[in-house]
Amino acid sequence: MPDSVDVSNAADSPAQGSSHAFRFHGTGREYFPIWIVNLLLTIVTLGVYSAWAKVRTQRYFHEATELAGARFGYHARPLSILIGRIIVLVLFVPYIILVKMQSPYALVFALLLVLASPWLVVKALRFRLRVTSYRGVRFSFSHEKGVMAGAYLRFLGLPFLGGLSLGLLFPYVIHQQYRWMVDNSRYGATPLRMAPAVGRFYLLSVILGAAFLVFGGGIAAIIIPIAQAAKVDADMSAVHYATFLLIPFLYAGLFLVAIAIGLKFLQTVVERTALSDLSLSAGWRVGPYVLLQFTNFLLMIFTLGIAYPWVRCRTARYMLERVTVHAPTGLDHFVAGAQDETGAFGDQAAAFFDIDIGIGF
Amino acid sequence: MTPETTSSDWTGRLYRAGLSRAETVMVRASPQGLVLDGERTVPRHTLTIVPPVGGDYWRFEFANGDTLEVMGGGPLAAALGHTPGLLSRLEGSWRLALASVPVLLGLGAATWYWGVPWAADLAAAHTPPWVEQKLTDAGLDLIFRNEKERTTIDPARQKRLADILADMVGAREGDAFRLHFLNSPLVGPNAFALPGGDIVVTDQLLKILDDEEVAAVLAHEVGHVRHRHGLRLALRASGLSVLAAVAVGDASTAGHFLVGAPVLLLNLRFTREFEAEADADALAWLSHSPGPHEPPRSPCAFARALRKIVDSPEVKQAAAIAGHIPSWLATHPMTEERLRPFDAACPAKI
Repeated sequence: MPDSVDVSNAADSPAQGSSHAFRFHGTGREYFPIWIVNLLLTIVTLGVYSAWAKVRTQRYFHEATELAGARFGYHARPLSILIGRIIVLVLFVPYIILVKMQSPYALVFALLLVLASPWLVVKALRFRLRVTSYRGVRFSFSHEKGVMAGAYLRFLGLPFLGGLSLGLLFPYVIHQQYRWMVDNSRYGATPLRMAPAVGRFYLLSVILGAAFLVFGGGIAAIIIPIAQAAKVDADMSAVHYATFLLIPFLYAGLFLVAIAIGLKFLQTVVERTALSDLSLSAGWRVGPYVLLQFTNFLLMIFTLGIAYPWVRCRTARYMLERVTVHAPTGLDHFVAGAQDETGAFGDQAAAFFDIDIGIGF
Repeated sequence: MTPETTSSDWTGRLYRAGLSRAETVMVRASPQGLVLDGERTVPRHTLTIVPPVGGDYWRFEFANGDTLEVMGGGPLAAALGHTPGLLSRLEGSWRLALASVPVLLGLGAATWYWGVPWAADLAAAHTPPWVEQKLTDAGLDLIFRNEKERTTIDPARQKRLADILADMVGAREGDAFRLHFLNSPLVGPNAFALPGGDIVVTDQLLKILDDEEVAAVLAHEVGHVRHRHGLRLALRASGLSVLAAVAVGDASTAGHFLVGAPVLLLNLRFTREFEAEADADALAWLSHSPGPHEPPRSPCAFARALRKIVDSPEVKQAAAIAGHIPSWLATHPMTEERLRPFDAACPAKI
């Protein structure tokens, strides 16, 4: 597995084939006042500014990210984000209220949300990618005819089959979803491709499943003797109560395994992704990553959230600077996609109808 | 890479419309606009200056779709007549940022301590009773699902206690209150009120208390119901979880996991506040002389009941495990502290 991050960006000659590690130039010191202004204006405008705040934040993080001497760009219009947020509010708030009231209409609503979700996934991906640029060329998500049908197959049809198979097909379903998302993404006119990794997805799922089994078994081993002792009305020994204290440790263990597996899933997807002759390698390690998340948590708790800008920047730095792009023929040969030249009206319409619903990427 | 080669020349990277190929160009500002490599002039009115958000990455977008990136291009933009907007000046100000920290912390604390409880109580006041009843029914279903937990209390005593409760709440409210009996060694001697007016007492409690003492405990539970403590607590807790998640949740994955701890502590504060309120109700009822056909009542009964519960083997055992519980961590205010008003109102201490 290639994880040597030892590549030099100093030779700024992207015409030559070489490897480039991402570099992140953001610092907590610099991001802190930006974050504070976002927070203040969002509070003062009762949340309306949050769309503008999102654009400022995304621009900061994109423009602080360097690959081979060039920065990334984020071009979303705050109004599109605001509209997206209003739509989400209109969709989800009635649902949450209905669920809280345990009304049967909640089921109807949930069904509608499930039916709409593949459509929303496509809309969100289109928005997210279309507003991202690198070297003056935008990313995009496919507008081809079969895309919506493909989304319904992968985000509704396959999960249904996965349910019928009692979950045995779920790792495959997740794999198909990721692969489909990557394969329909483009940098300019060039599509990204993900090599299949079904075996790896199953391996990681089995480890996660085993962790859940150990956790469930541990909980049962603690609860069952106590329940039995209670049933016969015998006095419960101190040992029974003391075993309760083991539950948080079991829970923390499960949590650590889950975030480590999450990282490995991401690593698999990143390393199997290619863009024409470009390939990626990600040198993340489970130990440092878990430690990063744990120290982030401590920082947030002990500063009452004030450390947020530092937490975000150190996380971005770790995640980005360990990813390397291998470009045997350089980065100069990409061209923008044809659909970028659909004219001002097409762009306006796309900007209006592609909404941001905050699916991370 | 130095941004300046001479006093007025910058190195930039030019990307032609739709091409990822970088061309290194020398850039200069002139009265007409940007001059690239000393030969191509881009008129000022055809280019958009995109100032950085933090950092020093300046982008110039031309009308023909070309993009020019200049690190440290601030003076270049200034020479073209660009003045920094209010937003970038605010975002660059550490003085504003530092001054805002105590304001934000204060605002957060005020929302935490007063805002959320106030909003939750307001929401509770506007929640229709049938919603509360649905929550209660779901809770009762869960509690009485197990057949083995059927009560062993004899029906005559059940009837007597139900009558005491009916007398206590009066005919007008009587329909809302129902008494349930639960046989559960796991729960131990305890009584609790569900949001809609259903009160559950355990067989283990009835074993150690006489009817007068049970009545005192019921008076306390009726206080919980009348002040809608169940619903208010649930709403306050959800409000705090949401607030905590907003404050620290999205920064670190671990935040989602452990954000519950401070919420739990604050929940305990609410619980104690509610217990004190229910105690006050119980004391008022117990101090009020009974009607001519009613059984006797006295504040002493509540003090007796509570001491019996605390001294019961089940509760003692739990306390031994937990060791000394500091009062800010205890759901009920420490027993002796709590019983002081009852002891004071008790004419002859037994």
